[in-house]
Amino acid sequence: MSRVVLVATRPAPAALADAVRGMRAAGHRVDLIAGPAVGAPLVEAAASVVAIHRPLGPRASTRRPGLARWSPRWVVGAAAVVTRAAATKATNRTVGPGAMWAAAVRRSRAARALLAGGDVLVAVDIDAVYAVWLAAQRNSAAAAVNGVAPALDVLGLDAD
Amino acid sequence: MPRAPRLLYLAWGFPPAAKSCTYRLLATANAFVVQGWQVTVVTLTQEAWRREHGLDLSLLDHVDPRIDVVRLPLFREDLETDLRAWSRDRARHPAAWLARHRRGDEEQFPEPVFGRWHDELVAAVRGIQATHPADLVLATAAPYTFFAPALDLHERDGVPFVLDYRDAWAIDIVNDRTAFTPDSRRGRIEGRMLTAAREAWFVNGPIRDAYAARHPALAERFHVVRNGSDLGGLAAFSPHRPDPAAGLTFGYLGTITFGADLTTAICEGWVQARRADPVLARSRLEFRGHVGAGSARGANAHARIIGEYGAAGVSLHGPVAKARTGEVYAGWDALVLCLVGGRYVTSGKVYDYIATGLPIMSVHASDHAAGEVLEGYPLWVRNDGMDAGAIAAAFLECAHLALEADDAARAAARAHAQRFDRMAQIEPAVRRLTEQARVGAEREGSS
Repeated sequence: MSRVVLVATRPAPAALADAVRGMRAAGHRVDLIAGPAVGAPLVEAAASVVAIHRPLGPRASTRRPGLARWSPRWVVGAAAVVTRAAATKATNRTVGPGAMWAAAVRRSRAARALLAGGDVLVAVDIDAVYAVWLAAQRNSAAAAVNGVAPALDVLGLDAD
Repeated sequence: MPRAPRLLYLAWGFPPAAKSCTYRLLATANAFVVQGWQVTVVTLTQEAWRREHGLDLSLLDHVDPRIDVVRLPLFREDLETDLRAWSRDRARHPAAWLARHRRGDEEQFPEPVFGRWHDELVAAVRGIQATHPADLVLATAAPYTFFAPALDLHERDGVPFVLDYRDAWAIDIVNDRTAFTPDSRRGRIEGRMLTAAREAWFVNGPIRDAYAARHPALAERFHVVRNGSDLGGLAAFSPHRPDPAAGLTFGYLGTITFGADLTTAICEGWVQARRADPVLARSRLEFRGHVGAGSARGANAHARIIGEYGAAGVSLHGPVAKARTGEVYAGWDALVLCLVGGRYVTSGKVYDYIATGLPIMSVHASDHAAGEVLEGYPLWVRNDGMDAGAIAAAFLECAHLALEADDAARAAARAHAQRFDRMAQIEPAVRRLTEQARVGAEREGSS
């Protein structure tokens, strides 16, 4: 039995949830470190989930029912969204989204513990790669792969 | 007794690669063996294919055991999924790394992605030629980098060669426009290749004619060698009867190479058609085949879109080994032929589709070259456009055809396909080259 740790930051196709269920059916433990946009299918397929939030990530609209357009609270909310969007763009251009997600993982004790104890560390999407790459430098015994299909290969399960 | 002629076959997608071109390469190599040739195939290692779209190990059973296969360790670094092999810079800025990598692709040979293999490939083929001298080199593309060693051996040692273009290098067949001019770097290399080649093969008449117009002095060397159906040879097939009470199953089988927006249009058209027809409302739409490569294998935008339409009976079930494609077709009532490109693209899957005798609904451009193959097929539904509304109309018409087609119509459909058997397409070309080799050997023997 291997301990598989997935790191995901973006909406994940339902097919990935099937792959995770396949890993668990084969006796492997699969834990997920996930950003808020990952989606229910993958979250529900994992044995446990650690939620992470990217610093300076895009913020959802602050529009609330009943809030009058151009009211002081509406203006403050809208300004926060615009400011956050500009900050996100700037950090993506300079530091890179991967580094920002890696920072989110580093800030979570639970996420760090999972990655330190995993046998197979998996970046589910491209923005999760740097977090997994950094974790693999510390957990030198673990396999570290980009993508769920290569993780199935490592586990000896048929990706096709 | 004269010795058997030796063929060196440069075949990038040879089995067990899970590529749509693999079946043509397999049939070609086997056809040469049957005609008495000693065949050496140069291709990639299994690990290289695992990294890309994956493997179909069932195909290895169909490779003639007399064929020597040389597997070169040429890997696509951009598809490396072991993160321990990545530098910190690549891990932190993957998009910037890939952009730099792409710029380096064409230093050795003017082809994106594969051009960086040129020197290694040429050196390896020279080594093979030194130990097992070939009488003829057959090189198949894409990638066109695999043409380069054939030209190299010809210019060094005078070895004749044939180019199996399948599609076209000088024409962007998907977008139906010129890919490069004759005086460009690629154009000059292609001109040298075509001038020196004994023959060039293309998969359909429009591409062959376009090349003949571009190189009129060489036109007589250009031949159409079509793709064909493998259903008779590699995968047995026995259809079932549609059951309106249980609903119908529409299927798409093949690597999904069309755009994600078309996947959305198909799924949306399917939803519209289900609203309009009670039988379709309890029917299913299944996609089978490879989606995504490298880290995205099985999980790209297509997979996400198809997953979103799960409640409407749309599903993705992953790839099928070629030996099992007959079983898959046998479970379907109608086929969705979704293709990219237009008048220059035939595709391989259209041949297997017509061999099933099932109703086929097209989702492709109206002037698509697959129309040449489908013309006269009695259970063919043409689409009037690529938008969801036109696709919905095609689903409705195809559903009625599936329910109403009698045994005679299905038999007529299968009869239409018989002329497009894979070996029937390849054998004449192989026989022509075999005859040339025999005449050449006799001339050599008598001088």
